[in-house]
Amino acid sequence: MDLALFLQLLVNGLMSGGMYCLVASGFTLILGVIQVFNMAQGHFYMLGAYLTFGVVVSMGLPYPVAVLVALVSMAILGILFHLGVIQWTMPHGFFHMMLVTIAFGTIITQTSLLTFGYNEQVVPAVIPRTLEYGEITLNPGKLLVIAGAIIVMVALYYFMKTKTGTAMTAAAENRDVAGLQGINAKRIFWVTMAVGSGLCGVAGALIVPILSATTVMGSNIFIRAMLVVLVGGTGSMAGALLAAFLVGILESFAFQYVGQLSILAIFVFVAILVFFRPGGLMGKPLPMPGQ
Amino acid sequence: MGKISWKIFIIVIVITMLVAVLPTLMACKAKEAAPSQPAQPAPTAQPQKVLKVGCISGFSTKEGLELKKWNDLIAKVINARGGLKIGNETYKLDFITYDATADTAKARAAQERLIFEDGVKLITNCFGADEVQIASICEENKVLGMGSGFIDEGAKPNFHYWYRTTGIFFGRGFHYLLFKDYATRGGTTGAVINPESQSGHIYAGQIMQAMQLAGLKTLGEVFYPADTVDFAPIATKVKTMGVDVVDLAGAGGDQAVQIISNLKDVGWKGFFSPSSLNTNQFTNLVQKVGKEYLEGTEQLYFDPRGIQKDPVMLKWLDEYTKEYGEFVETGAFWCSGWWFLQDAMQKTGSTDPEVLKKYLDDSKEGVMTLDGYSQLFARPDLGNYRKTDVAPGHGIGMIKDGKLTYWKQVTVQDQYLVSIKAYHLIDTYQKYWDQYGKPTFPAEKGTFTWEDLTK
Repeated sequence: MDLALFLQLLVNGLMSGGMYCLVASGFTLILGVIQVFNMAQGHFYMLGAYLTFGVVVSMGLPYPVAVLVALVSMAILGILFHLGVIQWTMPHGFFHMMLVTIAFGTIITQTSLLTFGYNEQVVPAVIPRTLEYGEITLNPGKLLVIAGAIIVMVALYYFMKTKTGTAMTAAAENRDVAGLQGINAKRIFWVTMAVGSGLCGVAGALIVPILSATTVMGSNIFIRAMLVVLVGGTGSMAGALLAAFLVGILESFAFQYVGQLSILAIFVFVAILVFFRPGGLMGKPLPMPGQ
Repeated sequence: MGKISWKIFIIVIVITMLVAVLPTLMACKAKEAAPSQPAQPAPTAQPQKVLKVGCISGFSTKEGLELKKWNDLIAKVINARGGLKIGNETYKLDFITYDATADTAKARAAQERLIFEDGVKLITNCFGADEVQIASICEENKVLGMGSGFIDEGAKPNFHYWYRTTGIFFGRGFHYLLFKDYATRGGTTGAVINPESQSGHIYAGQIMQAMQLAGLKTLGEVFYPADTVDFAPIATKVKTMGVDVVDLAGAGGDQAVQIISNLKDVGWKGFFSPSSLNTNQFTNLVQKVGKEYLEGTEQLYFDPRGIQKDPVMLKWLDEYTKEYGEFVETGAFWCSGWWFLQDAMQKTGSTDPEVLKKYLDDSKEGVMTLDGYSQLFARPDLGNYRKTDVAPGHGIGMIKDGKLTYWKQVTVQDQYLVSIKAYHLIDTYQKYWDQYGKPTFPAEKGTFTWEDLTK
């Protein structure tokens, strides 16, 4: 393997991993704090991508504005979803809440189809050229995506150190004890939902100049985000970041050598890892209903 | 509390069933009531007979939706012109299109509804549903069926009522001419990129054979999961293969745009054959990779407005634009079945499936469709000596200065003869020709000749 190929595969993997990390982190937060298995997580990512297309292409606004709009819009949508649906489904248990998230995801997909049609929606590249160094050719847009994902994760890390973030962590550890400590669970829940869906919105906005917006991108990334959660374990930001990049890089290298069997290779790796470390690399196992 | 919950549960179920069943019952009653009403003939004209033609299309695809638009347009325009004249009768055309929803069970239900409830005996323009299932149901019920098909199962001799009016088996002429051009321009090695599926593997194999016939050394195939959104790994793999001609025709327009964009990102340079890109996809492609990267690229040219010179077909294209506004070329190729059906009905003067079947089985001429002439041929390689599989005429376009322009036509003759040679089936077909006679191509001559078969 020469250096050009290695770098190409590494950049591809890091870019994918960055996206997986954002979506998986949002999912883990929502699952840990609110105990909702949010099957619509990937759909917020898809909607963030479509929103970015709308803002940049239809409205002609600058790309950074579109990223901000995607973040805020998805956060608001997450809050509305929580206050309007999740909150009322909570007394009925884990599986009811999971079902409503499936329904919500379907609504998002179908609405996107009606609004944007079946065609892929392309957003112009943020940096419309390639970097060439001898045999090595790289798309700087991908490097921007990697940097963007890392910045967002760092911001999330510091957010989790704030009073609100600490309250979210406490609620995830033990909701009842957190309540006894004076933490307002209802407020924490919708903030968590906002953060979780906002992360996906940003991920969609970052990736759309590279991948374009399609209605299948949500379900596609959700499966991989689940793998990241299994590999990293819940409750660990560092674990999520490490796991995401690991899965992304593994997928990239695996495709080079085993082609369409790459997803099988990843599942085999995850199965072996979870067998020996049920809590993933650095965290805890996924919480099951009633735990 | 539990007892109350059970009662409520049962009440909800009963209400739901009533809401679901009652309208159906009412509709059945309305249908039963209709025949007993005395017929009220129009005061000034003879009552028109109604010819019902059915179609099962996949509404979850762009092509499927466009097909419905064409079906509706065909019925509207023909009826506005006074009806469809077949023999001594004039028919009002009722073109019924149901959604296959990419679900085998629902497609079966839709087709059975066409046959048993709507009384349809002719089905055409089928797209996006399981070809073998459609052909089987047509066979069981002696209903004439036409539509698209891509696997050999659908062209086998056990189906006597199914005709493949859009297909890819006799489609290698287009690829041969395209790859030959690329070979002339310096291409030496070829590879195929395709989604992972049964038809994807079959298609990739056929393309590779066309590449070899054109003189390219084939280096392999790259398959990817159909739901892939990130094509960077695929592009990286292609670059490491060291190939200079890549075929993407099985990838689908949107995916082809992504693949080409990623090929440029990894620094790959060479010749590629994109999928059939519609206007929107083509615009996206130019935006993503720039005009320079695309200069000289050849691909299928689907837009009939660039191909057509036939005044009848040109009028149909006008009708589409009048009815729907902006012309969308996606559905034009896939509605070839209607033109075959109309041609058969008008040549035989009949709507009887048995009469039409007899005519089609031994058809000797091409039929003008929106994208040019197409013609049915036998498949002796499958033991099928009836003419049930199509060689479609195609346009080849070339991208110049960021615009796709019509360049030349691939004729039915090119498609048929090149495909036979590419698949190494000359001996099998020669036996068929010795027994049944060589087919003729009365509509238009091609580049590839009978002599080229044996070179």
